[in-house]
Amino acid sequence: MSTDHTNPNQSQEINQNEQASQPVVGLPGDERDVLISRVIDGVATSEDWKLFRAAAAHDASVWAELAETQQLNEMLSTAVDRQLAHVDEVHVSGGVVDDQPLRARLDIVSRWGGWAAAAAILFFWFFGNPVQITQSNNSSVTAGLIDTGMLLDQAQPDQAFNQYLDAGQRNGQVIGEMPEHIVIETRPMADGTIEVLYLRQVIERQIIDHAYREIFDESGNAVPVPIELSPNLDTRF
Amino acid sequence: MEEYWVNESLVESAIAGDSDALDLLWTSVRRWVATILLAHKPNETDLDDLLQVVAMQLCRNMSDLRDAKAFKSWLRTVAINAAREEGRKTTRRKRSMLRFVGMDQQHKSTPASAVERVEDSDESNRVYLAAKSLPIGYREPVLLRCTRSMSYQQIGELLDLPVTTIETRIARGRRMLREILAQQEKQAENRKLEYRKQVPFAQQASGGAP
Repeated sequence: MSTDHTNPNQSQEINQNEQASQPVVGLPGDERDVLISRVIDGVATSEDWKLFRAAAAHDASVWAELAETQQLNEMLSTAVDRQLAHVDEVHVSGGVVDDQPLRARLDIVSRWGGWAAAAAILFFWFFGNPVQITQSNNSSVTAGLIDTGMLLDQAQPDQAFNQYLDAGQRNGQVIGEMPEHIVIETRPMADGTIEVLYLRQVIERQIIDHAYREIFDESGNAVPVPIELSPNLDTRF
Repeated sequence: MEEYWVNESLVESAIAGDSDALDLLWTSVRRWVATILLAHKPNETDLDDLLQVVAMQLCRNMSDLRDAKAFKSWLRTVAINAAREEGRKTTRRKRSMLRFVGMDQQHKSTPASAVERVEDSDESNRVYLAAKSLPIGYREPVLLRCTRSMSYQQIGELLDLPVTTIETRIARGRRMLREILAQQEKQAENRKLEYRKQVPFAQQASGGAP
């Protein structure tokens, strides 16, 4: 069995990684690994099988290693197949990418502002202002603190956040907070509890007197281009 | 047309602007392109989105390709660059987020996404995540070999490496995978033992927190 490398540079790279190989009774680590791989992949020759049987006669753990590697390989193939499940749905029919799923997501992002504002208004209409709800629910605990203008550095995070929402709504900068929080990560803790990282989404509003559209030059660099704003035109970004 | 084999005349037709040839070509390569993306992309990124990015670049830039023989290595580079670009974006997002919540000192390791943690209970997914932690030189051939069993020769042509090197890397990659999983199991066992030492038996039995 040969594991020669024809490219000297690649050979050097491989040899550096060979340091991790473990010496194994009967066959050198690499040869044993390659032999097991060939058996798993169904490309073992009769000579390979002879070597394999001889190694197994000398060290029965070769069989266990073969079984374990084969099982891992099957599980990995299953997982890769699962990852590639929708790959065949991406086409380039007529030289144009059929990117419906991607466009659908981008559409959601581009409509986000309007949709989010509408959702916030609906939310207020049905359930009232979430800030007021929070304040009234916690009135027994926080009564007097926010109304008296508690200093932010003395407030609890929730109290400070509510003050920001309240002040923002008064001057029109804050439209409201989205009712749903986006979970980024959950992490099981050793004591049986679960740590949850999440995003709170606040919809803000800004009035601007000038705007730029970002375009890309032939090198792919982003270039800001001023947009002419006119009250008579339906200017979209 | 046999999967994975790239017909040079098809590549030439696609370069010349034949959209049917491009369609056929894409159909024959998209699985290995997706596997290259799997090997290089961040865990959180959606594979289908990245594959669409690569497909778009193929449509846009195919006519710039001068040599049909260079097609596979060119497309592989396009895929790797797309995955790495996504990796840079993900890193930037994570950094800004961690700074925002002030968590960078507490959690120095990069955690897998919430979805992946849930799927982590699935044994085959655990093996897949372990394979993703292999050094890239081993990860690519090991994953490609799982892609409907690409032959060593096909993988060698794609990665521009001799067949013997591919064979050795797959064999070593699989051994490293065994070792990674064995180490993970050992660590999990140690954590359990540590937990049992710290938490009184009565609390463990009732499932209560310490």
